[in-house]
Amino acid sequence: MRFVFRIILWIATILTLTDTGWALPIFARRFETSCMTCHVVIPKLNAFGIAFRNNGYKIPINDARLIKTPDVALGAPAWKQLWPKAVWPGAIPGIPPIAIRVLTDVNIRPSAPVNVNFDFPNGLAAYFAGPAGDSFSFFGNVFLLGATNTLFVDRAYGQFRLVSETAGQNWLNLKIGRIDTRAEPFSSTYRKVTSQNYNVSDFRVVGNGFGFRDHDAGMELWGAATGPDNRGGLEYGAGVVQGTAGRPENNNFKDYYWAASYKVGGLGVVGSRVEVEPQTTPPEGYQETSILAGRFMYVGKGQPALPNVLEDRFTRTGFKIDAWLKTLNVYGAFVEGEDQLRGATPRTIDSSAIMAEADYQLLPWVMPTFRFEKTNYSDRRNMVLLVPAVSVLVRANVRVLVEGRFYNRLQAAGIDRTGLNEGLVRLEFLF
Amino acid sequence: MTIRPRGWWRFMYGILLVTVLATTPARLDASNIEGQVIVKSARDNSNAVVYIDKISGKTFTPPPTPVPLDQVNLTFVPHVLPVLVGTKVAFPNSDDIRHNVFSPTPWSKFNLGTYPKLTTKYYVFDKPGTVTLLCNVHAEMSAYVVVTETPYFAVTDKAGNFTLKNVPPGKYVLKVWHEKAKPASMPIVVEDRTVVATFELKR
Repeated sequence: MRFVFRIILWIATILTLTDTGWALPIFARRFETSCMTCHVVIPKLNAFGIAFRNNGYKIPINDARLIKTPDVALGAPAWKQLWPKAVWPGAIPGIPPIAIRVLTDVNIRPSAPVNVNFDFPNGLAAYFAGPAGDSFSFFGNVFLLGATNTLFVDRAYGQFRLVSETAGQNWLNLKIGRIDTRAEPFSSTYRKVTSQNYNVSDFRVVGNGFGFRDHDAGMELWGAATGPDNRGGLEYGAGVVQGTAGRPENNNFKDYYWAASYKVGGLGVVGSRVEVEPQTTPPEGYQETSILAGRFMYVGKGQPALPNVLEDRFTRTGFKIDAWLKTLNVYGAFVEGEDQLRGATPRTIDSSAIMAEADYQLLPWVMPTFRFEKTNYSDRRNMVLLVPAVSVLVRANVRVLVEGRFYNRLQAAGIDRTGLNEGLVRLEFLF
Repeated sequence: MTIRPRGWWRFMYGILLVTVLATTPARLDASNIEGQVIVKSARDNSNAVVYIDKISGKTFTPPPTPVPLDQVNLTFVPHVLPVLVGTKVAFPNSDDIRHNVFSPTPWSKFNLGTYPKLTTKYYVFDKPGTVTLLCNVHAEMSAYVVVTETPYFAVTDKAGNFTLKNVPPGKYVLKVWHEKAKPASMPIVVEDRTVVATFELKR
């Protein structure tokens, strides 16, 4: 009882202290619009946010009229007429395209020796992003881990639009840098609302092994195009990456992957192909009825931190489903893996991971979430995890997340981890 | 009997004549074309050039004095200048720093060199079409000279409004150009009253 009371007290304290006022990150500043234009809740993108991202961080049609702080031209556009005898002109955002995100966590683990831990802050991320002219855009962030004061580059990439801009179509782009690959079934950075990672993105068969959510040094060709009747459409990506989450590699083998998905119904994946009158966004945000199905594959070679194992040749294949019914979003993915461990004691580990999540926007500022995850390894027993959570936007840019993690029959080889049930209360704000 | 001087009748006749002339509608031999251009791909609707295309069998005399296109605060002013073919354009430099004016447009290539403040250079635009102007020492500067084959042209304001004045009656092709949109045209008939035309340009 005392424990429950303490939790309630902490939540009440955090809610009291969250009056940070209005603050607008990069794109909100650029267009002077609310976060809710592109997000269901921070950081989960809605259909409009997806279209915005697929269009190189530009509003799909007539972006120029909506930008409140004009870009600074690096050379008049007319210089294009002189190329290759002149530098192709560019542009930079009129205001520094920087935003800060702060995560402050209270971790609660009832069975641990220290069952309440203040992780203040869990981390601080500095983002930079934006379009830079007609055919180039950039995105990145550095992350300062609060517990260890470790600063690292999480993402940093530039991308070129390789075909000219057409409404509703962005067929070919080249992204280079430390990237979040499109092979990840559901993005850990702009889809996941929980602190707990998706198992399909994060399960690792061997120590130091591959996980879809790793941001890696590489390059990706990707494209997207809105489907017939200006609805849904195709998204694809194929790339080659270092395979070591950005660390230097000690072999010449580069990992490669592809992913493709098709969405039926809802907003076009790159917005509308034709110009339409601007639609008034309803106060509860952008809502739609749509379904998306996709497939993905990743092939790699790594050096796992395992005794007597020299290398791990692995594949991951899978599919995903993503359905939106107005305020309800149900989605899930299945990933199948095979790891051939080579060395003194060669062996193959088969694995699979499945997840399903439902997010329901109860109110424009309250979104309960429930996730089911099951992960299997051929040399270990099943892991089942239930993740109930609720996101509360106490301000448009301030979120409180209350999350539980309930494990069932969780056993890694030789270790009893059944006492890992835990909870988390997070205060997250951006400016 | 009152005798009026002879000049009185002349004065009254003059008043009557002026009144009649002022109140009788004159035979109209020119009208205006008014309208609006919406340029959705640009921040506003300014700097679109609306003009009447070549009228077969008709030629027009360019203005006798040069038309100025200045360089002020690292900007070409105006940004868009429509002129009749054969017009001489003056390029003064009103900045304290040196400027250059050149055109990469294939049918109207020229380079006026780099020159200091209070210097003016000239160029005659003798071929129709849109000519791009750049400054090779300030890459952000650009301007466009839209060379037309009739003197009936106008540049839109921020709202996109334009007026082509004193267009004689006839059938024409009305064209519009903007640097950030595809050009458009429409047939137009000018009679004895103002004609209204609207364009919506897309990228």
